Amino acid sequence: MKSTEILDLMLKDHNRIMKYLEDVENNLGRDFGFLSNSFNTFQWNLEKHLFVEEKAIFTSYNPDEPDKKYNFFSDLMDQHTEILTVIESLRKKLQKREPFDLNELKKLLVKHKTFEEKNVYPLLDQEIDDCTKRVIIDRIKEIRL
Amino acid sequence: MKSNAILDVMVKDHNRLMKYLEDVKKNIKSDFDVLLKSFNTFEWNLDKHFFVEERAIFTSYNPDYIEDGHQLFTNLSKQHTSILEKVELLRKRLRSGKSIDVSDMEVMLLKHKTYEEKNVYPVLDVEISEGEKRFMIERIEEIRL
Repeated sequence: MKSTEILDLMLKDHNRIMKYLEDVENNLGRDFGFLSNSFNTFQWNLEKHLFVEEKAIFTSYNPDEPDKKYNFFSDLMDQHTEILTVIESLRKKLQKREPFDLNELKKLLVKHKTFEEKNVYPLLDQEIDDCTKRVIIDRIKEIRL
Repeated sequence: MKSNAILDVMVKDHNRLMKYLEDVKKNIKSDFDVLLKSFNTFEWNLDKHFFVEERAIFTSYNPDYIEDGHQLFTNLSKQHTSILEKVELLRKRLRSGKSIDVSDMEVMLLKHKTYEEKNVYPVLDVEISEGEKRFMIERIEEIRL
C-alpha cells in the first residue's frame, strides 16, 4: 500500500477552501468591505488550488499518454472552467453591489471535491511511481496553500 | 519617490526564467531525460510566473475600472497565451522524440520581458498605493518563484 500524500494535501486544501466559502456566506448581508475581502480571499485561494491541480498534478502525470483511466483530467479541467465562470459572474454582481447567493457555486465545489477525493487522488496515489509523486509533492509545496 | 518593489521581484523572476530557458538550450544535444527535465523545470516556472502576473498582479489592480489598464493587461494575457502555445508545441515535439529549437521562444520571451520591465511594472509601482503594493507582494510571495 503506497502513501496517500497527494490525497492528504489536497483534502486539507479542499477543506480550507470550503471554509473560505463559508466566510463569504457569513458575510452576505454585512458591510461591503467585509464581504469583498472574504470573497477576494476565497477566490485567490481557489485559484491557487486549481493552478496546483492543473499545472503541478495533472500535467506531471502526462495525461496526454493514451491511458483511459486518466481521461478524467479533461473532465476536471472542464469543471474548473465551470467553477471559475460562476465565480466571475458572482464577482460582477459583487462589483455592482447586487445581491447574490452561493448555492450553485457550493454545489459545484462539493461535487468537484467529492469526485476528486473518491476517484482521482486515491487512484493517483496508488498508480504513480514514487519519483513522480515526489515531483508532484515538491511542486505543490512551492505554492502556499 | 515610491518603491520599485513589484518591478524588482518580477525582474528577478524574469532573469531566473531566462536562465531556465538557457539550461534547456544547453541540453538540446544532451541525453533525452536531461533535456526533458530541464524543459519541465522551465515550463513549471513559467507557469508559476504567468499565474502570479495574471492572478496576483493584473486582477488585484482592478483593471475593470481603468480602460487603459484593462487594455494593457488584455494584451499581456494574449502574449502569455501565445508563449504557452509555443511551449506546448515544443513539448509535443519533445514527446515525439523530435528535435527542438528554442530560438523563437527566446525572442518571444525577451520581447515580453522587455515590454513588462519598461512599460508595465515601473508604471504599476508608481500608480498604485503602497497598501495595494503590499497586498500584491504578499500574494506574489505565496508562490515560490
